[in-house]
Parts: sequence; structure tokens; C-alpha cells
Amino acid sequence: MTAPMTDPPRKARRRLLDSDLWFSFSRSPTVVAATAVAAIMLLGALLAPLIAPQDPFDLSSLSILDAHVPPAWMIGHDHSFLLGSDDQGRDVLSAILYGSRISIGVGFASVALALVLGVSLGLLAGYAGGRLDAWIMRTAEIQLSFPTILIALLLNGVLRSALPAHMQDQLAVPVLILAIGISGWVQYARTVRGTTLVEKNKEYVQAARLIGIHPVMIMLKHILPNTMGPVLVIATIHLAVAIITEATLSFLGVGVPPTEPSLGTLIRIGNDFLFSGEWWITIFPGAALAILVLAVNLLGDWLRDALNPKLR
Amino acid sequence: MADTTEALVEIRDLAKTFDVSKPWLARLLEGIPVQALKAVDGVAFSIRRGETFSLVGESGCGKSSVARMVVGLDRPTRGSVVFDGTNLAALRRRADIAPLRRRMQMIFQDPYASLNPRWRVTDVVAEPLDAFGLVGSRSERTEKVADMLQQVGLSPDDGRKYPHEFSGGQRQRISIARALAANPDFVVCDEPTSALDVSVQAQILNLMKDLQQRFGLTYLFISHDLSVVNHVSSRIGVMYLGRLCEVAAASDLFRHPQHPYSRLLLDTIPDVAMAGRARAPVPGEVPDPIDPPPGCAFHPRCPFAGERCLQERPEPAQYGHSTVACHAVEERRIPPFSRSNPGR
Amino acid sequence: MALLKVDRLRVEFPTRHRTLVAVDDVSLSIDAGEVLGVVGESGAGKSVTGAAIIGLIEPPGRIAGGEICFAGRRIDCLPDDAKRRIRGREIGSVFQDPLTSLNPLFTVGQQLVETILTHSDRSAADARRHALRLLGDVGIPAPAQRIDAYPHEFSGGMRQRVVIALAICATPRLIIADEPTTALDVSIQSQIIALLKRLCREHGTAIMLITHDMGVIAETADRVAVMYAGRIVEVGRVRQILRSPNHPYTRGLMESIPRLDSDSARLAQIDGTMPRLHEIPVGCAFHPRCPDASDRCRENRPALRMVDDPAAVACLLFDDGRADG
Repeated sequence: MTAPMTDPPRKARRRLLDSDLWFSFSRSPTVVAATAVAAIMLLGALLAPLIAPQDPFDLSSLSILDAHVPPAWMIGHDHSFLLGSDDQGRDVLSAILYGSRISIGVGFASVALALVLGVSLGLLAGYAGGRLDAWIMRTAEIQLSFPTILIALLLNGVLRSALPAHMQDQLAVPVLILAIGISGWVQYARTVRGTTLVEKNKEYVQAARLIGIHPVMIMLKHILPNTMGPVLVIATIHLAVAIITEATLSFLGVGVPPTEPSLGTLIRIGNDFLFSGEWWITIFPGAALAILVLAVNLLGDWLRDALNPKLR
Repeated sequence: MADTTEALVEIRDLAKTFDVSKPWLARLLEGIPVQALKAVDGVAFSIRRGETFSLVGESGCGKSSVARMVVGLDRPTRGSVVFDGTNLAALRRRADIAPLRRRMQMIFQDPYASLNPRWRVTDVVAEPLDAFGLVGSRSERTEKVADMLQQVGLSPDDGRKYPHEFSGGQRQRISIARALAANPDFVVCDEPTSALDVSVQAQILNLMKDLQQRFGLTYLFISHDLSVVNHVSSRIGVMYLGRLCEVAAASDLFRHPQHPYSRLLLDTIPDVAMAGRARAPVPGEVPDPIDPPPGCAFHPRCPFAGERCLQERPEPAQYGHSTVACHAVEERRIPPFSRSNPGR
Repeated sequence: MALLKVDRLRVEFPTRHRTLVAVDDVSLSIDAGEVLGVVGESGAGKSVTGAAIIGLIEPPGRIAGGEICFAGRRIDCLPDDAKRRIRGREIGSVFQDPLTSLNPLFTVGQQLVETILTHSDRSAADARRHALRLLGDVGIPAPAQRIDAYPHEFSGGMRQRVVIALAICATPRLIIADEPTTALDVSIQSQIIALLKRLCREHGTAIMLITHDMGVIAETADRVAVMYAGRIVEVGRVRQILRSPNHPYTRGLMESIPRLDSDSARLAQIDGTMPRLHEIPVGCAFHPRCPDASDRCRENRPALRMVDDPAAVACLLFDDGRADG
């Protein structure tokens, strides 16, 4: 079989279009819609400085006179505020775009942290076994017996109080990422450990051991690539969880400061006006959060089913 | 036993015990003692340069455990493996072990698990080359891999593919190419054809024979299939419950098996030469290795078992050209063997 | 009259690229009390043929043509519950892995009694007595003590005996045994083979024995059908096929088996492998590997023809032989 060399990009595209993953993707309208929604929101967040009508952090552009303007289809509206404005005259749409930037950013960063932490500890526990495995997995089980949000809340509180007062606002976002990241590693570790236990007894790993490949290299080059499927699924679902956790913490007032509001902060701010009739200040950020999380969750669910041959 | 001057591998009193106890809390609550499984219990034999030595036995007899200890995947509980005059257990430093590792390789049973599904065939075959630093440049590596693939009957272009694009037999060829890439002297083959179809099995067995001659290889061949073993081996060790019952040249074992268990195996093997003949199956099963019978482990199934077999463990001794561990053979209580169904 | 008659059976598995034909134009028959061996390498379609007969083809797979008649009645197009009745009562089945055929949560006695009660109108106590008798029948020592044990407390060979007891508890007229000895050790294999043969003799049960192991066929079967790439290439009496196979594939297969009574240095080998289902060649499916293939074999598909009753072979070389003689 000496097929003529086709140019690589074309071949890669062919492979993608032929793959079962693409097939199952293109056959499910829900997933296509969810991907589109998630992509639009991601793009909106990324491009917020370019597309937002207003910079909500630029105090000079805000005017208290614009406060409490209702959305564009209601009486007393103002065309420059499509989704209305809040108590300080900030455009709600712009605030959502900027807010989702922080929400999504914190989400991705904490997922990355949890992934690296969980995957390394899972690999180590599964491959080394014995006492190290017992220690790592017992720790994981203890952490698992508390609700994630409680762990994040606790870590967030402890880390904050360890910081000097003037740095608290400055480091609020990194602290939040650390707290959410650490609260979420367990799932990765458990899954990766399970896969590692299966893979390490497979004969290709034995063959590598036989020629004296270093255990760390075996873990990285042989086992790690074979655990990536389930990890990808967990990461997608975890992204939704992380975004919600961030929003919850910010809603409770221990997350990002009001000067740099995330979606959760926006919901909290708007919450005060919910009963005085200015519902749009809280409902729109809330809806944005719900739609984002739903889209990501749908994607994660689909990915789990598509990558699991048993469910096919 | 064998003339040690020509032995490439010598296995001395090899033993492996696995701890199969329940967790200590369960042991404490249920009042059960620590349990040990003697997978291998005092096995000794030597493999001569250039020969194919086979270990046969039913599942759980410890033949694969022996193979794993010989290549160093498992550490023996007792005993030693001497490879070309060097006791492997005495080597501690990685740098000392590496040159010996290069000289011994293994071919595995399951062609679907023995190749990393995410690696291209080239990288699979080149793994030992890279590990031992045997190739200098990228082009030398590609060339060497292409050569190995051709040696095992594949095309050099196959290197660009992934393992899932190959059938079981072809994967086993890739596995063989990897094992031989670093130019070893000694290859342990753990049931290399038992997952393959007969027509493919014939291809692989022939290939292994050709390669043995071409590269002057010594094989330790592990199998449960007596007809395959008969075909490939120069000498054979029959294992039962972690011990060697009989070690003999292939022709001797198949014509004049001495140990009652060897006879049982020869009698029960389904053979194409036996169409339509009725034969009495031998009753009984392999006992639980955690709690093996005292004395000779085979005595509950043995038609020749006597009082002594119940109490005293038989030690291997030389009878003619064979080494047999059996009281009945020692006491000459066993009639000459005739297959209950001589073929044709 | 034949107990089971399969006529031009075709089983397809549609996938999104193409439709795979796993069983292609297969015809065979089994008489009462006969053991028919179906032998072939993995992917030859032998297990799918067995599954089609007991009505266990998993969708999206389907029987796309042909008919299956059991005791003079067509069974391939019956509704599901009628198929299920036939499956337990008239056709028993034994699979390779005894563990998957037994429910780990119930004792073997419970499983046997339940099966007996669904297929007969015995009382519970009578069913238990029958279960004990069956366990003794399949050679389980001290059945009275073992009947209340769980499947995991049995060894592999004993479990397979329990599965056989389950298969025969409604005294079926046909047993489909798919690789019943493959997972077992040789000494246990011979016990199970002897058991199947005894059942066949004592109860007049017909057995369709599906296996890749020619040795097992040699000792057990009366007739054998050799399958290749979803088709039957040769049928005949076991002795005849083992001693003088007609089809080039059967010949190659027989020669590639290492024998105890031969000391030749090399095995005869058939080069290449059986084609996967999506790349079965036109004409004779075996022609790319066949030493005697000619241009005709690349174009025309040979039909299964009688050469010397009951021996039949699907090979163009034998069409000539008939025409000349």
C-alpha cells in the first residue's frame, strides 16, 4: 500500500470528517446549538473591550443620571442601553460581557489547576500504589465527603485571611482560582488513577518497563495519553461547575470585588433592586450565567457519551 | 542437570509468593490468618544457548510468573536467575542492569494490549532503540525500524500507521519487531500465539523459527498448548501448581512421558488425529493454589498415588534423559506409557 | 427430516458507511441427535450464525434474507415472545464464558429452579428435585451440597457444567454451543466435551458446536461445516474433512495445525489473513490467499455444491471436476 502522499491538512480534515466523534456531533442538533451558544459567549467575553457599548470599569464614562434605565423594549428606555442600566448608570449588556470575561477566565484557570493537580496525583497514586496511593486516595475521600462549595469557601476564607489587608482585593482573583481549583482535583485523580491501574498492567507498559524506561517517562509517555479521553469529559463538566462555584462565591460576597464584577457579583448587586421593580439588573446576568452553564454542561454530557464506547 | 557451560540462562530454586490476604481490618474482624499464594515454589532449570525451552501447564501453574521473574518484571521471593554468568539479583545499579536488559526481551500474549494504541508503529518499534541509545540520527532510526518491519514480514510504510489499523497477527509481528529491535540474545515468549487464529498462528510460529535461526536467538516459550509446544521446543518443562514435574527433551516427553501429570496432559489434549474416538476424560481439577495438597501436589488426581505421595514432597531426580519429580517413578510403580488413543 | 434447516441465511449489520454482511448465503441442516461442528477463524461468521438461529441478533444487525426452520416450523420471523419460548424450551444455548451466563446474585439452585418453573408446570419442590438430578447429570459431585452455592464458588469447569444444566433443563432438542470449552484448561475441556457427547447420546439432543478448535471438532462432531468470511466453504463428515479436505482453505487450515504426530520443522501456512467484513473481495472470498486461484475465481462466486454426499464444497475447481466427470 503505497498511497501517494496527500498534503497533511487535507488528510487531517478528512480524518476529522470521517471520525465517529464528528458523526455523533453533526447528528445532534442540541449539541450543535450548545456549541454555538458557548462559542458566542466565549467570543463575546474575549472581545468584550471591542464590542461592548461601554467600559463599565471606566468611572468617567458613567453617569448617575443614566441609572435604572429599563431595557430597550420598555417605557422610559434609552437606546444606548439595550438591556437597561444598573444603579450606577452602567450598561447591563456591557457589564455582562465584561463579567463573563472574569467568570469564564476564573473557570478555565481553576479547571486547569484542578486538572494538573488531579491528573498528576492520580497518575502517581495509580502507578506507585502502596502507601502513597493510600495517602492520596484517603485525602481525596475525606475531601469528597464535604460539598465542593464548602471546601472552596473554606479555602478562600483561609487564604484571604492569610493575606495582608491591602492585597486582598488585588489578589482576590488568584485566590479564588486557587480555592476552586483545589476543591475540584479529586474527580480527576480518581478517574486517572482508575485508568492508570488498568493501563499499567497492559503489556505495552510491561514492555517499556522491560527495557528500563524510567517510571516517570512511562507515566508521561505511555499512560497519560491514554487517560486523556475521560479527563477531557471531566474537564468540560467541571468547567460548568467551576463557573457556578465562582458565581456562588461572588454572590456571597467573598469572590471577586465589586470593582471588577463577575456574573455572580452582578447578580448580587442586582439582587437588591429585584423587589423595587428593576428586575433587569439581576435577571439578565443570571440568564447569561444559566445559558452558559447549560451549554457547557450539554457539551460535556455529549462528550461523555460520544467517548464512551459502551453507551454507543 | 544440563551442562552448565553451554547454559545461557540458569534458574535456581526460583520462588514467588504473593500476599493474597484480606485487608488487616477484615482479618481482625473475621479472625482469619494471613494468606500466601505460592505461585512458583522452587523451580530450577537451565536454558541452553540457541535452544527453545518451553514451560507448559494449565492456567495458574506459575509458568507466566516464572517468565516474568526471568526477564525481571517481578522480583523473586527466593532463588536466582543467572543470565550468561551474571546473577541478576546481585545487580542494583541501573547502569549495570541496562546492558543485560538489552539482551533479553519479551513477546506478549495479547496483541491488542501489547502496543500502545496512541503510538505510531515506528515509535513502538523504535522504543528499545531509543531507550538503549542504539541509533544516532533520525534517519538511522527510520532505517533500522524499516529493516525490522521487513524482517517480520511487514512493509516499511506500515511504520506510519497506528496499531488499530492492523489485524491480530500483524500486531504480533510488530510486537516481535519491537522485541528484536535491540538485537537481543534471549527472548521470552509468553503464549505468543494463543490469542491468534490457527492459520495466523502457523505464520507467527514459522516467523519465530526463521528469526531464531537468522539471529541465533534463545527462546523461553510459555504455552498451555501441547501441540504448539511439541512443534517449537527442543526441551520442555511441565509445571503443576508452581512446581516442575518433569523436564525432558521434546521427543522424549511426547514419546515417553514419565510423570503422571505429563501423561494426563498428553491424554486429554484434543487432537485432530482422534476423530470420533471416545476416551475417558481424567476426573478432577487443579486444586486451589492458596491451599495446595500436602506432599505431592498432584496426588489427589494421580492414579498412582501412594501413601508416601500424601506426605512427602517428591524432589526432582534424573531418570534416563529426563528430570522427574515423582515417587511413583522413583519406585518404578508406573507402567510404560501408551496414549489411550494412538493417532490414526 | 432435518431438525434444524437453515436456508440461504444472510445477516447484515448496517453501519454508517456501508452495510456489513456477516453471514452470507449460509445453508445448513442438523438432524436429531447429530453433532454439527461449525468451524472457522474469528470473524468467519460462525457465532453470528448461531445467534441468528436462537434469535439473538442485536439490532441494528438483522436477518436480511433466507429462512430458519426448526422441526418443520419457520422460526426466524416469529414475534419476540414466541422466539423467547423456543429459545428456552426447544433450543438451549451454552456460551464461551460461563460467568456471563449465570447471575452472580442468585445461587445456582435458584437459577435452575426458576428456569425449570418457567418452562414446565412442575411444583417448586419437584423443580428442585429435578434441578438436583440435572446437576448430578452434568457431573457435579455432591449436588445436594453444591446446589445452594453461588456461581463464584464454582471453578470454571464446574460453572460451565452448571450452564449446560441450565441449557438442558427443559430437555431441548437442540443445543447451540458457542466455544463452550475455549475458556477452559485442556484437562477440563475434555471433561466438558465428554459431557456434551453423553447428553447427545442419552437424550438424543442435537448439538451445533461452534468453535475455532479443530481438535474439539475432531473428537465431538459427526459432520462439520467450515466457514470463511461469512460463507460456508465446505461441509462434510468429520473424518473425511480431517483426512481429505477438498477446499483449498480447509486444506491450508488443516495443514497449519501443529500436530502431536508430526515432527516437521515448519508448519504449512496460508499467507495473509481473513478479510475484514468491509473488504471481502468479489468472486471467491478466499481467492487472494488461494494457491490455486485463477482469473475465474476473481470474478465468479462459487456456490456450495455436492461432491460426494454429504460432502459439499464451494470452489470453482470442483465445478470443473463435476463437469469433466
